[in-house]
Amino acid sequence: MHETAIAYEIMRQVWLTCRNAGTSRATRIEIEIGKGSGIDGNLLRETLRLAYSRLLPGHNTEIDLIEIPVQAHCQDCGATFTPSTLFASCPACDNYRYEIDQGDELRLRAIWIEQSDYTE
Amino acid sequence: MCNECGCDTISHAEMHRSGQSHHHTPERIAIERNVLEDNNREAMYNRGFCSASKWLLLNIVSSPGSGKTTVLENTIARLRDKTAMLVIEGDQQTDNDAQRIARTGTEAIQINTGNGCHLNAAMIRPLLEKSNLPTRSIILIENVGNLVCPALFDLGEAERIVVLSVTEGDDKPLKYPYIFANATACLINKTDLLPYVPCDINAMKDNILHINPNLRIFETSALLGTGMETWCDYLLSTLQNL
Repeated sequence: MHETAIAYEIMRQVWLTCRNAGTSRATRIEIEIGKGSGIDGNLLRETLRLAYSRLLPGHNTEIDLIEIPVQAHCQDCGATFTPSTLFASCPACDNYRYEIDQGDELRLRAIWIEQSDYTE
Repeated sequence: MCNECGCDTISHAEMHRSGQSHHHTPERIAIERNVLEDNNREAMYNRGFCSASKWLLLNIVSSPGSGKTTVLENTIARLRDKTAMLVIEGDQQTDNDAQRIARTGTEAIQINTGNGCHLNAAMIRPLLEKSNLPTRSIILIENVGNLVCPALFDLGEAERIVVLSVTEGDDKPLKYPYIFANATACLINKTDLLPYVPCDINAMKDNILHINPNLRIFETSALLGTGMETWCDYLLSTLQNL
């Protein structure tokens, strides 16, 4: 359900960036989303697609969602690993004390706009 | 916007009609910004505001019906002679909870989120700025009953408290890990019902600690008052150490 609030915030930030760049339309937006971010990537993509197609139908904004896998390191044995499920134990020592190194991102990476050139 | 190509040029349709042509140059603008940055900034403001005022701000989260409001009523009854308190109630609809708290004599402010599934830091900020609580007071935020969405939204709290009742089952921490991962303490509530429900409290504690080994756990029955003294002592010592 909170994907709606996240989609709204992304659209707001895209709009602000477009306005500062002197345009109203983003042709493409790039979003980084960690698999451990607490956001469902597919749901966010569909929410954004629906919102853009309903609210800004002429924009044809492409949604580029880049998923980042989770990587962690164990605080006890130092092993680096990808947890099989979220908050699974360390595969080397079975301990649960570990830190997430990547995979909790939720970042608007970039937007694409088009500048027009005119010829007679 | 031009109806033919969708670009921004004013009167572009006229340009097309008059035979003028154009082309577009794609441009990438790097942003590299956390989507939740604005909320996180508001939360940092709230945290600084409370720290400067020496207010203990608590964000209490749980699923609906875990007993949050009863925990608050019991906590207020035990602490009202020792510290000033304010309660901020978050619910989609009704001010039932604020009315319950008001009956204890403590001020309660209700936020109705409508269709929203969580509180955010910007909703809390004006209430902090308006408050005239003395130093070393406790502000208790009862978040919208929801084990999913409030996990992502920092309100600027000093502590995030999860209330989990034994009637919800001992595997809830594994099913809804994010809310436990970001919390500082957990109240296992409704322990008076343990003889009547199939809940293994030791398995529940293990599951909580698997998600967050640093979480402080309190076993309580807010209705009967069991375990509430230990919980309130913890709050008072945290308040004194601000």
